Amino acid sequence: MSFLVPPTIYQRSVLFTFILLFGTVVLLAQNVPLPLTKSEYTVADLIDEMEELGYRFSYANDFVNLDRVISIEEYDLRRVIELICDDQLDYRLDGTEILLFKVARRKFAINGFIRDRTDGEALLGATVRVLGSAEGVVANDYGYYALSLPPDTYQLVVDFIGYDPLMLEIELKSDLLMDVKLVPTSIKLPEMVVSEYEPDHEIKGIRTSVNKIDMALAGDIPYLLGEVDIYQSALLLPGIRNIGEDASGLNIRGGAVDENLILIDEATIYSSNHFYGLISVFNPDAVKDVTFFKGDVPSTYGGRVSSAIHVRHKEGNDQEMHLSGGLGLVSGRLMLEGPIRKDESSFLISARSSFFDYVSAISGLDDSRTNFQDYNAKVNWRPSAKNHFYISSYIGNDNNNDGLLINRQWGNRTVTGRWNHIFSSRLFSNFTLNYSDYKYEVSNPEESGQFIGSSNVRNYATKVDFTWFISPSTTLDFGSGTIFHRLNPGDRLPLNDDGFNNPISIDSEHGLEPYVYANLQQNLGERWIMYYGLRYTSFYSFGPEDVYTYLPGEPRERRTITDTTRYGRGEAIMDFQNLEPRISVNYNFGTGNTFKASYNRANQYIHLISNTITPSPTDIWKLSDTHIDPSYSDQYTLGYYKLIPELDLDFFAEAYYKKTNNIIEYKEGADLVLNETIETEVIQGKARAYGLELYIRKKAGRFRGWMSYTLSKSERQIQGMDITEQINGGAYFPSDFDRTHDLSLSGIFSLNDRWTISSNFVYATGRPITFPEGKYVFDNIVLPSFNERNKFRLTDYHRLDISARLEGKKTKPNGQPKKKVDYWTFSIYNVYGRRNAYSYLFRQEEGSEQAEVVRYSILGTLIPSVTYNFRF
Amino acid sequence: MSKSWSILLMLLLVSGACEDPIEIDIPDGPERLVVEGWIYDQPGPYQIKLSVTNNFNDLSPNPKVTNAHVTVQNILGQVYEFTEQEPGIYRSSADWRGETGMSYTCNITLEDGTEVISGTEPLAQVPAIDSLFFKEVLPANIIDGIIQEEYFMGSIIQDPPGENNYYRWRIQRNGAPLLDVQSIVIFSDRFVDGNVFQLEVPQLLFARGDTVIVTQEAISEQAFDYYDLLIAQATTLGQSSGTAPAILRGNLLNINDPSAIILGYFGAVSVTSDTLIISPDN
Repeated sequence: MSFLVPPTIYQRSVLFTFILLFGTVVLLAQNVPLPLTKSEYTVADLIDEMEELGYRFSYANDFVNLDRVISIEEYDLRRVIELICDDQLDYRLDGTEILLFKVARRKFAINGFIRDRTDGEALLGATVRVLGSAEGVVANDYGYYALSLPPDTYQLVVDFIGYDPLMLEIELKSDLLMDVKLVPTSIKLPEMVVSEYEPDHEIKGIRTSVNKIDMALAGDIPYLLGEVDIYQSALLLPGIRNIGEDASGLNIRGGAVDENLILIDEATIYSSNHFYGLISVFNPDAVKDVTFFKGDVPSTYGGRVSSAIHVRHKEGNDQEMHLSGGLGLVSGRLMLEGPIRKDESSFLISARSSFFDYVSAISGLDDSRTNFQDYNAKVNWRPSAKNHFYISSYIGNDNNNDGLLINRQWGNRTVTGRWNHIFSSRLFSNFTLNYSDYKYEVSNPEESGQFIGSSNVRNYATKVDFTWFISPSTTLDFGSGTIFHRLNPGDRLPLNDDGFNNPISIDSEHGLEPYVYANLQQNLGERWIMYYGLRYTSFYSFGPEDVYTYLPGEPRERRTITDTTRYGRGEAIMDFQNLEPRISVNYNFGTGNTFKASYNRANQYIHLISNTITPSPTDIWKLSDTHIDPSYSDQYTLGYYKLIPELDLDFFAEAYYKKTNNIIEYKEGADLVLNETIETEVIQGKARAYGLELYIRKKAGRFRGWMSYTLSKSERQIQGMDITEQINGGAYFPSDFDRTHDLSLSGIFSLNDRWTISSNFVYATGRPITFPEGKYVFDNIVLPSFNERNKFRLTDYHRLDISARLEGKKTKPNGQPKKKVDYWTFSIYNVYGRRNAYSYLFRQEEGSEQAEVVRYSILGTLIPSVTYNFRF
Repeated sequence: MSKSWSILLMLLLVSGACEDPIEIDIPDGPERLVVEGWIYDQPGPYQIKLSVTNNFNDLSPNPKVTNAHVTVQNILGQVYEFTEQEPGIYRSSADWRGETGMSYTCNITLEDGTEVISGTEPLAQVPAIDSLFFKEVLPANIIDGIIQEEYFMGSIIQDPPGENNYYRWRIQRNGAPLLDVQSIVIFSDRFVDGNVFQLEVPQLLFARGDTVIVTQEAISEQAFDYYDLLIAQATTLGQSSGTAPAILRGNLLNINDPSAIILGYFGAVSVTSDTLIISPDN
């Protein structure tokens, strides 16, 4: 890999990362040897001998016990001073000046990882608290916790959603390394149930607008084609929508699809759906944790203006080998995980594939074939309690043949390497290197038009994260990173050189995105929790590239180009510097009541440009540059959370307002393929979204379920340079993903040990659509005359799904428990077969000059399915 | 087993996606002027048609615009009058013809004094059709157990090097022009500049013995972009991953009110043609 980076920019940002990284290491590992002569001293003698070596001590005689005898094992300055201090004193070292002073009570840290006992998976977000006090901490994103307390005997409770709480009694006399292992409440096949971040499990406050999809919990809801899917689950949460049944991506709180940062094990995913939009790329078997940050995004995450979605793979069972899998109507899944060396290293490999080339009715071509595959692999190794190494990879692939000869293939692949290191009991670190590549390829071997076209988006990223558990009430996350972007917007080459076709290649784009961040969590008393976050991001675009200059004050068009500037390899073209403050306040009152408020700023330097209704695999990614400004957003959230433990109920209400500047809108009739001047096809504008989200859930008992409701508005405004660039005269208009009402109900009922039935009902206002407000004839073709964009709406969307799950027998005929666990699910999607409109087609009636309106439905009938899942 | 699964899923999905003609109330939007006019390097008369949009659900034809004053002007400033010979249809005199290398502008003054002007359209020299050919559709389509003998046609064209060329074809089958949107064939030399290249039109099927006349026209870049969007709007509108609805802007401007959208296009083209007989046995 060669970094095509200008030395100054590159050095500056890399230097930045490394100063932060090694600066910390140096500070922590500063050893000063002391040339002492004996191995046993009284405190008085030791102080005398050190003063002869040139050190000066300042202390009050009455609190230093000068007669105490010390035996020295390590002749290191700090170690020796710590011995003098014992646990009664603290010190400050300034050159050769040493000040000894009394501490009220010295504290020690209990620290370690919280894991699942059965498979060794780290439990992110698990809590450790002191029984009978408000003291406690939440394990960080890697399952690490550190709780510092004065020496005493404590009863600790370690707790995590879906696990039996564990009570531990400890006598704290020194720093204590303690990995905690929890036992799952019910050991069943991993399925998903959607859950709001458990408020009763987080003594130290949650962030606003965080939704988790819990992979570890048993439960089930109906899925389309029986394929358990993270996105389908997410759509049942408030504030998360998509455009229609086969639309790729998610619209979170009225944001566009490209405004979500989607990470698999810290690596960016550019296209998160298979099979057009029906299935998400995340194989549910291999996924451990999915977190949606809809509003208050921690400053750890950045680079997108709407939300962050982090999907973390399982690490692989480090206790025993397991084979699991499933077979549905669309795909088959297989996963193998197990220890390489028990308790020290493990692996996981999984594969999923559509198992036949099935006919895709969606494209409307009967001969067209579509298939997909994805693979996940992960290895981890813990050579010592302080070091943990991980390598993980995701490879996805989609393939489509249109039934003629044109073959299209696309997919994302990522590789992540991570090293977790514990510098001291309270300082945890994570070092990441990752690579992500999204590629699209189209080939046409047909003799006359033969060509192969391709485009890709690639990034290489480094990142360093630290968690510093300063005290039980104060935790500081900080770190930095750099992302190198390389976009290849398109090449078109002859398959074989017959002289018909000329090769065409569009200049690559290069960008460097360094950042630093810090996030301080502070508990003020028992009621207030504050989060202060700050993220500083930069973006540099650089050559080689041709940059066009356009006539000022006029719409950018090819004919308004006045000049071309050639930037050489690594030469800086543009840079942007931005500060992103993020703040959140939690106030707890009464029993189980929390009130929250947050503010969030984010910038985005990479944009998806699409001129179709729903994102398509051919869409072009574009970096911010001379012509395209970075987008930025401000989001304000207010939330109220209530817990009613007697009824197993929890409830929340959240209101948000989000304003985004410099969003990208394509011009009408934009041509994006192999276009050297893509900036001539887009206009920038503004977006605003606001809404109210309500959610209530019953999470335990024979009947479980939840209801989520969102009342919202999402609008855009495009003013452009002149009237030809304006949309709807420059006024705000509803975005494609504006839904006034959005309701979903899900219920799960356990009939007996083996049968569980469940149901979803979904209702949403129809999506905005542009109607032809007239028709005319040109060249004998009847054409719609459109006027205002998104002025009308499709009819409302609603749908009912049901499913039943049958657990396999858990015991053999002789009463022994079976090692194999299995279950069947039977589901019906769209039970009453409603033909929900995906869009209206406005077209010429065949063989006449009349126009007609046709309702187009994607899944306009009931769809039954059956799935079998097993685990050995 | 795999086959039965595949058939089951196919049934599910095919029955899933569906299209139903429906009736919806569509309000009247702004009434817009539509201009359709072409001049050629062939003997005239040429016509410029003026009409206005009507409601999408209206079964009657578009109302014509009468009593307008229509002229075409070349870059030398010479003005040619088009006179209204049928309601809304304005014709040039039969002896006037466009010249290659010249550029033309259309000026329209409506009865109410509204002035409309077109962009300047170059009349470029059309590259010659080197030859036409046909190929049999293989494997053949089978309808009701009968193997269909069908042919599609193509052409070899020498593209002039170093300039951007944009082409439109108009095709006649046995003397009847093919008028539906599938029969509009446009292409550019974007990927084949300066080469002898081959173009196939697999979407148009012909039978043995058909006489096919291809008229090749050189159109301007702007006209090409206009047709490109027109075809997308007429074919893929509303489908998933299809084109989003857009105002189809041509090259016409209302001078009195630049925000008033004028639909349609005024273009200048040069023409060449060639004839092909589908005669597989020769």
